[in-house]
Amino acid sequence: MTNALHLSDRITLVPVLHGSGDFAIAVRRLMLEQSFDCLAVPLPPSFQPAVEQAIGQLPTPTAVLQKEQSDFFSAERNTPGEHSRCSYVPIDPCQAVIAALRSAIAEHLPRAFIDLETNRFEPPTAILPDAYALKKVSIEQFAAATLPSTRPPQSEQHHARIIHMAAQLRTLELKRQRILAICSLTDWPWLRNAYREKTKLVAEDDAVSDPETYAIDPATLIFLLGELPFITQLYERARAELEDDENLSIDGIKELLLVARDRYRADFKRRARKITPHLLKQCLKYLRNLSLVDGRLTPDLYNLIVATQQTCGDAFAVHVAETARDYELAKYTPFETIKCGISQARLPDKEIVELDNRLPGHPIVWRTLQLTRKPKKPEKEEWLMRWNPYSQCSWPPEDQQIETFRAHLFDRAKAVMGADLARTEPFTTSIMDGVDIRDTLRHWYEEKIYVKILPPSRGRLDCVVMLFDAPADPRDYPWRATWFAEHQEESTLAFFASDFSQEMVGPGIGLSTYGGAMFLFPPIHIPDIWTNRELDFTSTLEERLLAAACLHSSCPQIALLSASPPGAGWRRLAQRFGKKFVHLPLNQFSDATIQQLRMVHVLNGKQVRSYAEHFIRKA
Amino acid sequence: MQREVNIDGIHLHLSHPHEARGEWIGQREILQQLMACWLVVDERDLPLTPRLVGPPGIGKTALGMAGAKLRNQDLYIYQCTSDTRPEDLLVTPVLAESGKIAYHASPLVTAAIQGGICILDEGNRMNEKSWASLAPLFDQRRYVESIVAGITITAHPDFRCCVTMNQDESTFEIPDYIMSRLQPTLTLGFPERQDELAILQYHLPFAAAEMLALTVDFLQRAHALKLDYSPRDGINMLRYAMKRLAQDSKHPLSKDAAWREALAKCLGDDALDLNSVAQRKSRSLGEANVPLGLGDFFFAADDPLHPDRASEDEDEDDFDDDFDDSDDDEEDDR
Repeated sequence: MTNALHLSDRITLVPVLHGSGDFAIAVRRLMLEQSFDCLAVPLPPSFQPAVEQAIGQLPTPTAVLQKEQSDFFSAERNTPGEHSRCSYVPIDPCQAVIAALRSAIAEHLPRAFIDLETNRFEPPTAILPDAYALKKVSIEQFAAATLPSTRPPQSEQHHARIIHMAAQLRTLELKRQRILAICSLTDWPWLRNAYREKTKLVAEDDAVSDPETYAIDPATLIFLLGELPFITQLYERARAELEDDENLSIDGIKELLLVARDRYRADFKRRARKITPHLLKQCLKYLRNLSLVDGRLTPDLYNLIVATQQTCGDAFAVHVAETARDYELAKYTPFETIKCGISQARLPDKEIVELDNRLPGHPIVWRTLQLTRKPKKPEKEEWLMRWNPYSQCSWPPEDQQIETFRAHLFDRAKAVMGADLARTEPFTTSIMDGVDIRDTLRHWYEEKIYVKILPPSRGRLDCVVMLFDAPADPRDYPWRATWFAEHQEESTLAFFASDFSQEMVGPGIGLSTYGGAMFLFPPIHIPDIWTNRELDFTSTLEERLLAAACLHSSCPQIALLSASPPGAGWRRLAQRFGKKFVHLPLNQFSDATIQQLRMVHVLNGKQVRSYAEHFIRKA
Repeated sequence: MQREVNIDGIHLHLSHPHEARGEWIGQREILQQLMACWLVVDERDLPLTPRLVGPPGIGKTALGMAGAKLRNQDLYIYQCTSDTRPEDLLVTPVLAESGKIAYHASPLVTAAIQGGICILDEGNRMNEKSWASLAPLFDQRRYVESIVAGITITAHPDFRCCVTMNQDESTFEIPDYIMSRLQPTLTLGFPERQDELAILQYHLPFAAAEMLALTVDFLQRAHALKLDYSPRDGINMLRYAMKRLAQDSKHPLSKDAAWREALAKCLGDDALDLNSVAQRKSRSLGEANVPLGLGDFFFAADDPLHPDRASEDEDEDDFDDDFDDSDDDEEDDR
């Protein structure tokens, strides 16, 4: 330890960044490395009993609130409609002050709360560096590097508090030999000055109300904790299981992505996009760059979600947002629960109060982004209850998308049919379908020009069968229907898909997934293939689709999109109708696009089309 | 600047960089995200090649151009089409006057050689075969192989690329191994009112203020209804309206009439009737809340603690104002 942190022979003054797990670890390490006989923290003494009791409840995070007492002047100052104010101490395991108090209580070290009592707390504001730098430099270097940008106290109260804390340290060192004092990084140089210069006190303690402890609504923990709730949970887990927690501010993000990926897979099953290690690597690299461009070393929630949304899609980002919000270690506490917002909270009596953090970290900046959360169960049930069973229609953008894909498959199949016929030959009299520059160059030594001949493709196509999931489990695809075209540009469509009523995504909007589909274009009128007795000889869903395709197609060839080529059974089936399948492998197409094409939204009536866009998010 | 290079004994003629540079107005965030994609922190680090997606006319190419301007690098644009072939993308052999073959590097390859920035415009139109030839360029190998010229061209460390794609166009042809190299996907949204006005003003500095205001009002209302009318549509429409106004100086058309005509001619008759679209929508949505965004993960939509709530109220106000605007505008015209 260098002298930079030594305030005197008896006092070690450690500047910390509030709300940072890295600093909490650094302080814990310092307390393990050296022996102290007293811990001084920058909180007023009125908070001591409540804060220490609440620390006993950890790992359940709580908040200790001190309401501002209203006197005549403050009542006058408050404009009507303005909420009353509270200052609070977040009992967050990733707060260095709380971590130090927690260790001190465990070690039976005496604690001193040395801050000035203030009725209305004015939190100092500062732009602070990222605490991750602490992994490369010591606390002294970190503090020294931030010195040039540290502003002197801006408010009278801040000034008075610093002088008061310096005086308290002087009093404390009369009794104690080895004091560990913790202060905010922004106060550090001014506290040292005040201590050295023995500045006279300029303010006295205010009369304050008794602090009260509250539990936090788990969904809004993110607004109380310095780190993401998931990362805080990892710190706590590492503490309980004696695991390594040295690099959790970065490794925690990686773990978060992996946990979110597991949940995403469990949720979407086979519909899930493949979140490969390569994709995660790209995502993390992009996340790193976004954080750097923002002037940070570790990502915030916003950048984390932006990066996952832009690399792995909306649905995965939703899981990341939900995982980041999760804190599973919270247990029952005897305290009443409040709901936190940004610098606001709703007390159990529904009153909304403005909050001032006594241990302020980075200022919170709220940036929103378009990301629709998953509907909650009651919402889904309500939407399902209001569903009118006699009215359903498709969502036109999806119709258009799958029709484009169908047209594209026709083109591909025709290319396959005509591929064998294309040839190249030396130029004689006609340039035919253009000079084949590649063959001309290849035979350059012959000094001949080669030309391409692309004969018109033989045959036409009017039917394509897409088998996205084969072999398909009939239990997964209970919704089987034949839909007729709304206009001449649409195909006749027969499909088997998952039950849309199981997945309501909005009022009057259900989501289903195609298992397989057959398209007939130009559209013709056919009997419902799922009830047509002529097709009863088939035993599986896929066979029924293929048999229907063979029955209703007027062309000798049928395009078949599937993962593996048609087996002997299916080929025999086609032969029976005098048809032939042109196989198009599924893996030639982008996985993400296929997953999107498979998702079909069912709307409860055409009026739903006008707002469906707001609720529909693709994987 | 050097317009020819020699690689492995092959003389390559290089393309010319793109000269015109537009301004990027508003939406700083997406520009910052593009910069983040192109940032490298170490010699061994590789830049990302993002896909810029969004409806036509929203400014995807302009964003790439703005990125190139910000990085102060030469810009090359390659327009992809469905019949773009690998040699068009890389090196094209051309029969020179001497009867010999000259090799011309595409804008993409020129950017890779010179360390410039390349925008592959409308990349979704290109087929898999052409994309496959670019696979090594966008991963750790960072080179392209020209079969025609028989050379391997290694990319300059400063080479950056982005691909623009229309959201509504099919991207079936691009298989996963290519898609995984084109990450992340930056989606451009419609600009805010102030930005949209500034964009129109920038492109049409000579347009009358009231015409600009009318157009911005129209576009903003269309964006709120999720209709795909882009700033480019607004620019085209205003251009047409200005031309109609200037056409006959003796019997000038009223501004309002010219504007309405431009709207119908450029964007179709549907565009004239946004009010009924809006009414239909609000009627059918009933009381249901439209999902908002990140804040909904923590709060119910009507919770006073909801951080997006303030802006939502403002939006709603704007929306109401828009419907009152028709009256206001008439007053202005008088």
